[in-house]
Amino acid sequence: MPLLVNREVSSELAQLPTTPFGDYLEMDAQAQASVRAIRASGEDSLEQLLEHINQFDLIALEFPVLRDGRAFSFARALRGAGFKGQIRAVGETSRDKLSFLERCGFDAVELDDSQFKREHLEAYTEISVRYQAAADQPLPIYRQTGAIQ
Amino acid sequence: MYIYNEVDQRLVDERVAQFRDQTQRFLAGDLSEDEFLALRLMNGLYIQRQAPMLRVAIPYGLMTAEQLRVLAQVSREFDRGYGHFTTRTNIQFNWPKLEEVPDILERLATVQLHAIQTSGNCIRNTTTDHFAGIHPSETDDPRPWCELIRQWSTLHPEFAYLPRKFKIAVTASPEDRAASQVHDVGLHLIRNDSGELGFEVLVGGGLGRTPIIGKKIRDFLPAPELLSYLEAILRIYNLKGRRDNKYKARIKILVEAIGIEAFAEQVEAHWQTLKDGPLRIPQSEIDRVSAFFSGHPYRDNAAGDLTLDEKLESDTDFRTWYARNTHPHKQPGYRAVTISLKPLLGAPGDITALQMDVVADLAERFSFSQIRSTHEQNLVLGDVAQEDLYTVWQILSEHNLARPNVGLLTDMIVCPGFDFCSLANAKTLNIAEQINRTFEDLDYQHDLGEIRLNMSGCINACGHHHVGHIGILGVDKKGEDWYQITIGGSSREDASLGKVLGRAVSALEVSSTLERLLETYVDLRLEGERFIDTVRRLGVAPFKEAAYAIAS
Repeated sequence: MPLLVNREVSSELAQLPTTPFGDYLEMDAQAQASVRAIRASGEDSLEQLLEHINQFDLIALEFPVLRDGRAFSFARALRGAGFKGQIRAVGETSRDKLSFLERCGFDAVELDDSQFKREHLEAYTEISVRYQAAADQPLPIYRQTGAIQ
Repeated sequence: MYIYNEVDQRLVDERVAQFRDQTQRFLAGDLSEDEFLALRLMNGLYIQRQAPMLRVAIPYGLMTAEQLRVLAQVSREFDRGYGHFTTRTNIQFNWPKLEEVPDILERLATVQLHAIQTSGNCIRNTTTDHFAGIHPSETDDPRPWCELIRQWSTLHPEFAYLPRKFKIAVTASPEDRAASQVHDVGLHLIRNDSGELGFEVLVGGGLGRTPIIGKKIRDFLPAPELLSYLEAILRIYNLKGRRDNKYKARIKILVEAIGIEAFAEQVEAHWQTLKDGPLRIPQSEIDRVSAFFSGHPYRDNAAGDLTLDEKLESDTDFRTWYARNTHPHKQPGYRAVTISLKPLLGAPGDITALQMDVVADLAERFSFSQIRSTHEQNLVLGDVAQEDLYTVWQILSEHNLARPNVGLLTDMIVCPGFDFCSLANAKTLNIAEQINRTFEDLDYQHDLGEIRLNMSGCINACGHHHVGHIGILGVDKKGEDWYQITIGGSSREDASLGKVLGRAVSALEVSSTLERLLETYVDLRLEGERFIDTVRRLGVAPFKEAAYAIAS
């Protein structure tokens, strides 16, 4: 399972052990303190997750099916709240989501082995225009220098 | 009208290349059917009953003569010489070849047209009043705000995989010509007591299986915060909207489930983290975009023309058309002209390549080279000087574009139905033709007065049947087409949902049922009372009794 980190194929182990956020919430404070990486999905409470972000180095967000886009909003909210650790997309990720994932604040993506080809990294540069403010571009088009005549 | 700068053009060009690559990977077998489905839908491409269908965006229903000519070319070269205007003011081509779609998109991009987000579970084309910028009663021009929404929503990275599609309409008049109350978000441009521009915001309206009138979420949103507020609504929807059942996935279901107060609280709380931030639109940007929509160089003496009155006096047909198909304009001596795409014979909303060229020529000669498409599936020349109306009418008449039926019974909104659409349960075009033939007599139509008839071939309600004064819904009963009739709906400022008249009728009985229904109206109406008002005054009962009197 290739892991992309900042647009590069990473040598890191893709399957870093991550505790489900639900399990993390059940732990006592001492056990919680040892957890640095968790795995969350759209079913978890974003509000609760935001309360604990300083605890984590890595938050893996799950795409349970191709069409479930909740994790995009989770990632933006996490970056918006100042989370500086890795946000990793796991589950039903795909080549054609790479650019949107990055724009929303994901800096790492697990991709299916059978699907991955090196040329898929071209997905990141297909669209160069950013109309919206997002995690990769703090300003909307009308505040970007030089974008407007 | 908004003209692309280098950045806008680059985005569309890059999107064409991206889609070409996606199509090639799909055809080469490198992209699964399921993955390609989501990608092609976000670019307006369906696989329909007969062939693929490509839906091209007409942002807020405004296009140039040059663009319409290219649409005509595309329909000739890649399709069968016609197109179909939709209730989202877009145009559909019903017969393109999948492998040629990238070439079509490339051609469209040469004139700043595209198919971005005309389908799929994303933010769709924003619609507005087809008299935007010209109607005497409007607060201000809504189109600069539509353009700002267009840019913000185009390839928005967070909102490309929403629970379901998302539609926004903007109006700026007390009258609602954009069906704003049955949109996911309806925006009404208003001024507050201090004269500042802002929006009354509605949320959670929609049609489909569960028709709901939108609810007010905010009395007054300062206009510069439009996009920060929309972003807050969309984020809450993306996070909380249902994903387990596509029929319960629209924002209206979420708003109903948790209540408008709770939904508003969540949006408001989230908006507090976004407002007064980078998304706030600076005045300089509002001015820049607004300048594209500033008025045309109107003739000062247009109202001094005397020929219009002479023609109205001498030519009855012209007078009828003028009364029905032209509309007030805020500039003295000018009228807006509705081009009826509702001929006696022909699918409502369809237009041939030749007709597109004719309309483009007329726009160039008489209406500052611009054309509007309406959610009622007609076209509008927005700015015609009164002295030119007679010539415009003559040319439209020659090309079967001047049927004086705008706002009347045969000015029907009709989805393509079973003949084209793979979702449809029943045919619609044959019923539209039956109604056209039964009510061919224009004098009778004029006597019946304003009636909005909307027809859908399935429960998804693309033909807006719930909000027709008369709504017709095609249903499948054991392999046969049957039609359920509703009355009393409206998509206007007095929005309401139609009530079911009674049991469904067979395909053969639709127009005879309508005849009895309308005879009853004629019998019961007060002087000058519209059909919808009679229904509202008396309820469904007398109509029901009459409609089924003979049949039962």
